[in-house]
Amino acid sequence: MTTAATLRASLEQMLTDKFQVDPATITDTSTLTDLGLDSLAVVELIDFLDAGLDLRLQDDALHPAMTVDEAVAVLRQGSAT
Amino acid sequence: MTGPGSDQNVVVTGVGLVSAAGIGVDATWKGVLAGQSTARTHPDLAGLAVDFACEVPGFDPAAHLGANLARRMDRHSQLAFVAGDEALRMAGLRPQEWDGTRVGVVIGTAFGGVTTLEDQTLRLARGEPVSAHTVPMVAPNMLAGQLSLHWGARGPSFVACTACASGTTAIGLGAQLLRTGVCDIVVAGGSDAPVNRIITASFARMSALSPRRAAPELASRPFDAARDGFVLGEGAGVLVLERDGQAAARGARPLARIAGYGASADAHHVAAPHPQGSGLEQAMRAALAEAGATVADVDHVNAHATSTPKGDLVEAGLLARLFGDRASVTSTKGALGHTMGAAGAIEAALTVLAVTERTVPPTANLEHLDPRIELDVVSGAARPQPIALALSNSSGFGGQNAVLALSPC
Repeated sequence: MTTAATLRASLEQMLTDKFQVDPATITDTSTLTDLGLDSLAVVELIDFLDAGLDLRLQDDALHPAMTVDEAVAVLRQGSAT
Repeated sequence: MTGPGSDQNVVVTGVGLVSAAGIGVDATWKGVLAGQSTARTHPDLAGLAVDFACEVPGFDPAAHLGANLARRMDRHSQLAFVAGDEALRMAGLRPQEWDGTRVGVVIGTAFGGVTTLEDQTLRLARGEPVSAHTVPMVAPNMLAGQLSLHWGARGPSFVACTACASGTTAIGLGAQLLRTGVCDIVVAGGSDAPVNRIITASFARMSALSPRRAAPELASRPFDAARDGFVLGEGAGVLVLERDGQAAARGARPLARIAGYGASADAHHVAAPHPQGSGLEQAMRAALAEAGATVADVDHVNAHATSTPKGDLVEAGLLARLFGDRASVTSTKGALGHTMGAAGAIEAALTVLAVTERTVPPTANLEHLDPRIELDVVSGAARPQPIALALSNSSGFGGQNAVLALSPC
């Protein structure tokens, strides 16, 4: 199982590389909406995470109101299966 | 009827172009004046019966739009953004400062996001997930929707779709939004990026494309005796339109006047033009009537002429009947290929430049004028000519015709 820190780093990198999110704005409690992602962007994020981390997330695994912390928890579950 | 409160004069205050001759008005105008074809073998078309096209060279969408926005847009929208931003810059307009409720966006496209649809269909066939952005990238209306969103233009926003006449239709309808007072500014034009396997293969099956695989640079040759079909191209042309008084009030420099617009349908055949070009003639006469002019006033025509054996002959016959050799004629598709829904807008922009620069670009690859064509077609080199009234002709599959009359300010 991948560690929370590793998953968080991957998520941050995805947000900054693919969605041009300013790394300074990413905190544990910032929501994906806060970071500028709308519902379509979140589906896109799921595709990027699936491909980059070899996951099989459901289309509704993440949603815009989720915080970074909550998203990392979902990724941990996904990487455990 | 002119004067304060009833200002019917619509002028062009900005132009933007992205074409196979280059990105920007200067690169495109220079390329068209040089009279060189931009058709090249295209790697995406390898193995097809026709494997060449006119592609915009070195277009890096992420550099223009940022990677995030670029990824969410089909190429035809990306091209329109770049052309539109250039047109607004030339007009001296800043979207951050305008009253968006008075700004309309009318853009033409024949194919919309067809390249994205092809890509995503192939992903689906391979069992891969399709992009969540597929629908907003493919739906034709999104071209105008995306531009309105980007610029905060909150007036009427729609896409004109009349096949190869779409760009001309969009500019004509945009001018009407100004004449009726609905808008104060209209960003109008056309964009298409149909250079992909499905569209190329489909046009090839219709025998519409030139099959000159060995010499693509000689394939697009409007009015030439050896023409054998058009060359598919991509690009975007955008004009900023305003009422004359409005433009003058903000100190903008008008480039040319949209003197008239006419549109018609052949109601004759799904693809073939009417043998006498009667629909196109009707549209030309309507544009002249709106301009308060007659055929005798026309001294230049940017022809639709796509380099097909039949289409060029029909249009040339009509032009000869109306103008004889009194009007200079050019087809810029020799240089740029046929850019479908963008063609009319690119050609309207080039006609604006012909008017302002007093120069008619040559028809690339016109070596031996078809002996059945009795027109003064400009070929070889650009020709200096002060223009009093020009027409820009467009005809589309489905028999849809649109014509703009343009004059100096």
